[in-house]
Amino acid sequence: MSRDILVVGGDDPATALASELSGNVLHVAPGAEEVDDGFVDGVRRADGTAVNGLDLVVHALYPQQSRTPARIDEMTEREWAAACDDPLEAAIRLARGSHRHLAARQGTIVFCVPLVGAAGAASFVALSALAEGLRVLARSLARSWGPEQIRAHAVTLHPSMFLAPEHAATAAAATALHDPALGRLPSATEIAAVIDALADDRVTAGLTGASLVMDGGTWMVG
Amino acid sequence: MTAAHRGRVLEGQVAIVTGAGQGVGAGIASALAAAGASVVIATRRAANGEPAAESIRAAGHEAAFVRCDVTEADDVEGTVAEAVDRFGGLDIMVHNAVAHAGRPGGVHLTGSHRIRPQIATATTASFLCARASLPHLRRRPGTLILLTSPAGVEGSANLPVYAAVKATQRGILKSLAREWGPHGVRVNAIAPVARTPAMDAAVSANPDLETRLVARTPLGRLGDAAADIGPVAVFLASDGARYITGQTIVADGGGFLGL
Repeated sequence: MSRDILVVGGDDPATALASELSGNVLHVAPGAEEVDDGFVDGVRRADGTAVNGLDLVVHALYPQQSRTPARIDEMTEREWAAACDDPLEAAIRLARGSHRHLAARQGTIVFCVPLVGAAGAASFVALSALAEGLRVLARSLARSWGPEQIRAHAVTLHPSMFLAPEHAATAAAATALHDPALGRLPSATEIAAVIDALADDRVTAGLTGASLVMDGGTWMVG
Repeated sequence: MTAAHRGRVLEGQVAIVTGAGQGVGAGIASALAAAGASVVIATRRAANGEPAAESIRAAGHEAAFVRCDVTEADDVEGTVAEAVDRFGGLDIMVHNAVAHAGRPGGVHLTGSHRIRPQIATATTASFLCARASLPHLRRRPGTLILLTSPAGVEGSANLPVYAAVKATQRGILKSLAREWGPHGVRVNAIAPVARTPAMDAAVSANPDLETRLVARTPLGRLGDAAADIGPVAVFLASDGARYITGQTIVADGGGFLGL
């Protein structure tokens, strides 16, 4: 039976991953303010039918405000909320709304997070806060949903997977990142293969709460 | 140096501590004051803020209470202005205030109304405290200390929203450390486990909790806010920590060893 997959987020990496994951992929790109506790129940397939059970939920919902560099002393309260607080609440509410669908399939939820959270990057404080919040949200979900055999993970990706090229260069410099040990960054196809494996009971039934860094060997700290 | 002044490593400095009416915040405020800092107790309620300030003054140190809702930009900026007006500057900003997490349970069981206040008090307020204090911290240069939690590192089955917002503070401190390092302003965090009124309430609701926490703590006891956590803040604010930034000090008796 083909897996039912929900990918949430506009732009990359969500768009790239949605085209590479294996299964019946539903790709939605809501604004953060549109994601409430009933959001998943309201998602419709192309034929108009509602979602009824999910094998995999992939979160990569990052508004443009999160992806744009800004020094903290130059940000307004509204800009901070749009870059960090609103998408954090959206992710929490997406998780809440996904619970019964994942429980029905003993499914997996994966948060794709930018490396700037773990490594820190000047001018990306809001994105860093959001990324670290999501990374630990995955661990909390793993702990509380483990008894239901729902698994939860975070996959940390290079900033260039999230940011426009000029901003990615800024972030990489601000983070003082090494060049990737493999000499290149992973492709969306390679990342999707890892996420597919995280949702595959034959491969990773005993793995939950993982925080995988998939950046070609750029960042090698625990 | 007299015995009374020995250990006053923060003599002449000015600190703000949010949420200092009780618990960890009060412990940190009293420790900073004992180390010589003039301390502003910034809390929403005068009912616990004023007594906390009076207790510090009664011990012979300098302290003032300023009413502050850390989720309101005007309050935070007003508190910083009051500290500068009253004491002549700002060296140490400690953001400790925390919102009530509600009843323990999975994220799908968390009361819907509990989500945004936790984000506002931990995440938004860290931004507001940082933004308001930066102009003054740059002049000294001073330091920003955020109070996070071991849950913000390892996650929590029963307090998932709390764990997430505490993790956002770790993201903030790492990026701010990089952003503010060129100004000489340091940013660090403390992840404490200590006996507080909130902990006492949790223990009374769940009597096994203390036994379980102590059992996972190599030092065999819960921390004391003033004696065990306060000195960590004093150290991070002191010149002894002048080459430390972007770090989280887990002050939990050894319970979490995953960093």
